[in-house]
Amino acid sequence: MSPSPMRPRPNPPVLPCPSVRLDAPLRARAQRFAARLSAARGRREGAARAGLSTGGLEFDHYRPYRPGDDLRALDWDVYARSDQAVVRVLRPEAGERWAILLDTSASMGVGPPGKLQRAAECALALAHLGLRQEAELELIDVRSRERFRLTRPTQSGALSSWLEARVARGALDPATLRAELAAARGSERAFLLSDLSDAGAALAGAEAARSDTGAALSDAGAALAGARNSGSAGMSGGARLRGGTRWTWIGILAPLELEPRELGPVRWIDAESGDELALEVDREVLGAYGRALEGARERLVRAAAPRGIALARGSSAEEFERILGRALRA
Amino acid sequence: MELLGIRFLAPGFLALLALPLAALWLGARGGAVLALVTGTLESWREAQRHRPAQEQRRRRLPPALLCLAAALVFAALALARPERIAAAAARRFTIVVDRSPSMNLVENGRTRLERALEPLRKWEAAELRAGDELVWIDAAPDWARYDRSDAIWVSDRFDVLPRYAGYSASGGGAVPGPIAREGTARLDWDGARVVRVEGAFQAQELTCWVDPDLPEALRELAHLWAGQRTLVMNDTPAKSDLFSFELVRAGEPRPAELARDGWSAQAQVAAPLTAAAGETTWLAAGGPCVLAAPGRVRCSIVALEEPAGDPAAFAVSWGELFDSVLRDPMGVVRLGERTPRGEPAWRAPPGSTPAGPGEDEPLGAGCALLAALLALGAWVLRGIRA
Repeated sequence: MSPSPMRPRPNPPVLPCPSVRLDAPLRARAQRFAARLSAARGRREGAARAGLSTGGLEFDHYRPYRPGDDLRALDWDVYARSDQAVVRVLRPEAGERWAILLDTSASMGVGPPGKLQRAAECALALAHLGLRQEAELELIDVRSRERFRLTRPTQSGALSSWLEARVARGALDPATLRAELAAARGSERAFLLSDLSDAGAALAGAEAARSDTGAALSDAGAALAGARNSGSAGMSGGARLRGGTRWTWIGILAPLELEPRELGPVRWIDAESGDELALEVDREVLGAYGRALEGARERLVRAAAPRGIALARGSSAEEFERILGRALRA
Repeated sequence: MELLGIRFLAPGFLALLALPLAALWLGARGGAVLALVTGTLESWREAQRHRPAQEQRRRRLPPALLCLAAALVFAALALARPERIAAAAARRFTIVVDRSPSMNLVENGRTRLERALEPLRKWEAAELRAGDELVWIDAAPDWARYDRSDAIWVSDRFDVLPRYAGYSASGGGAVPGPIAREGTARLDWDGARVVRVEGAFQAQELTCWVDPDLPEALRELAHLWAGQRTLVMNDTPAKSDLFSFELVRAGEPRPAELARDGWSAQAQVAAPLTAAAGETTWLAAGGPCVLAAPGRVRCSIVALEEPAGDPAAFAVSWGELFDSVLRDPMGVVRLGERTPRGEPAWRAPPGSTPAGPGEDEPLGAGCALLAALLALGAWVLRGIRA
């Protein structure tokens, strides 16, 4: 994600990993991951019911039992009466709206392994998790603004096809990002899958803009302001960014970006703008780069924490299960 | 083509030296820059801004490229077949010369030695270059030791020709003349028979000298032997002496037991003798104590007790030593030396031919080996940056 304006180039760079491929084994892994996570959550909530009554987790409706469901959620009375295995669905699980925002800008085509590929895998697993919890799901391509809604597990095939149709290209328009972040505000849970490479600067820029009423907001600041205020330029009320929405931002970087080696003379090409920077990548430069990357991350953490945004970072070299494991604990 | 003391037999291959130069030039220009697409260009820009002071340092070449360039240099040199000029000029030939009396026999106004050296001088003028070296050696008892391609044998006749060495034989006919002495009489060979000439030698031609400081037993024995051989005893040593017996007293005398040819005796001997050229050890006790050479005997026996065993064995033993070193008077050459020697013969030493193509191999092979090692080093270092 690169909200700052970039000079367009007539010939955009060839991206190493621009596409997504979700084969059958991968889809099965995503389903198993969602089932495992869902079962674990059921066990936690069951324990809460045993000790603290329902603890605010009210019965909403029944649904058929699916393999992987916590057996304690099975309604044995119904089973005895009707010989049908059904699971009680409690209120917090029912009727939730989940928004999964996927950044498909050209910078997500960096790799290998490709960042967009890993982000799409995470999106697929999150979608399965939401379906298991009977949430209404909406997946949004924040660059093209294409969306995909689903409420039933039977639509998972179409979901995979939609994800496989994503291609990393072009730059992310800050106004578009702002609008999509704002639109997600109506959801109970929202995930942003991106590389977040400039999100820290964007948040910091937004803070700076708030203290200087005479200055126009930077595009980056405006983007975040939009996320917090439904398009309003004002930056007051960080809590409104949450607006009842639990945000998780998952930043995925390629190994070449996270832990580059001493590469000697390198011509770095920006994936989105095509801007170039010739640099001798030696030990000293690597140290300075590591500090710059860490500085950006710290800025992002400092800006996101007060707004209740959970942050997680992963490498595209990691399995999606590890990335999501960290993100959902964050 | 010659360069820095090295001659190149195939200088055209030196043009290949342009290859490593080109490789280094391209490497210095940074021709192999990696182009990488990234989403964190801003962080790289920040890294460039905060880079330590040596940002503008000069580009260093990768070790692998340096190794490869060096390998190409040595490969080109190996193909150009280098030969060290100094090595080509520094040839050494060993001239082994027979110094037996026959070589001094004069025939037609020239000695056999002079005639044997004649073809050698011609070869020397034709073949030897500046810097070539000739080493002259008097004929050794073991000629085979010098049967080498860089040696030349010089004599009047070879019963067995050398296998590898060159040779020069003077050849020649019979040289009649005195062949022996019997008292003051002389035996002459006229080419067919031996003629005795009575009173041919004067007393001054038959002198000898015995050191008066020698132990009494040895001194008296030497006097007796000289009398028997009709030698005249001089008071002081002279060059013309046919025999001399000298005591060499050096260092503190030490007791020693001497034994040879069936006799033994307790003695006091001085420091061990050092053999000069042509001398052989006849008696030793903790080091040489009697040395013999044609015309002289040197000993370090300071005192000698009565020999044990047969007294005759002692006298015969020493007498044989004196006889073996006794020189003939001037002009007397044994009959065997005066006999005909056949035709002259000459063969140049094989090593005398000009340095052939094979001589540059050590330099070329060394270059090729270095090139291979450096290429291997380049392969090992290929992943390491400057």
